[in-house]
Amino acid sequence: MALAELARLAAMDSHEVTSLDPRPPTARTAVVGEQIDGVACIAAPGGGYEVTLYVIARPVPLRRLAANLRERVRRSVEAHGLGDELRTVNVTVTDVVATEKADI
Amino acid sequence: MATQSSERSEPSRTPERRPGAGDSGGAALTSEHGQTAIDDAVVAKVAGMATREVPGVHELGAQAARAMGAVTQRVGIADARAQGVSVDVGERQAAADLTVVIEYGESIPKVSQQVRENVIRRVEGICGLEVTEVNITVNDLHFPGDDQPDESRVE
Repeated sequence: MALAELARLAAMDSHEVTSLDPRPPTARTAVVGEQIDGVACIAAPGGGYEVTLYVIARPVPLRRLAANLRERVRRSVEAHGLGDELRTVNVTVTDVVATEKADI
Repeated sequence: MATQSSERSEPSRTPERRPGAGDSGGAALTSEHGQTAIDDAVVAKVAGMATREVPGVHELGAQAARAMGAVTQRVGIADARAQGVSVDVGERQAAADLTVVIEYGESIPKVSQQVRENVIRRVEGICGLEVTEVNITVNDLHFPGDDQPDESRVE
């Protein structure tokens, strides 16, 4: 749960992300009484967790955005002492939201 | 009025998966740190947005699709920006089919070429996919005054 919340906060901290997308069926992390939409946290074989972010983004270079998000999440998780828990950070872009001019 | 004009490029339709191609977005699709996935709907939407940016393009989609789109958009289950756009997306390449309505008086070949160039630029720039082909069907012309309701014959 902590990993998912840190990943959510790190993603939303990027101004190139407009929101996280709760629509995909697997796009949520739930523990009793609490749910984080747009982030999936799955136990990885061999220990740790694989985090997937479902992102709605501005029309910017999306692969670069994904690499930035991956780095942000990793830094945030390490800063909170959970670095050993994190295996991979996957990014799925599910939608883009237009601004006045695409920023390429 | 349905003016048909289709400009087709190379026949190879299926995007190939060539290593090294289409990396303009700056990050690999899969790395030891995780995977990046871009939904086909995103590629279609980017292509649609790029098409609308070109002066001389009035609308996207065939007449029936536009009529249906008007309804589905009103109830919030469709997005106008992907209307009239069909994409085939591979891991590193994409191909797009566009159906457009062009303003009467514009040069169809010129607008088509500008659409093609802009779609390639935007899809490569935003999605990091190499665009193998952009097929454009001009299925109608828009005349000034087409959007005004018909005057009533009786007062």
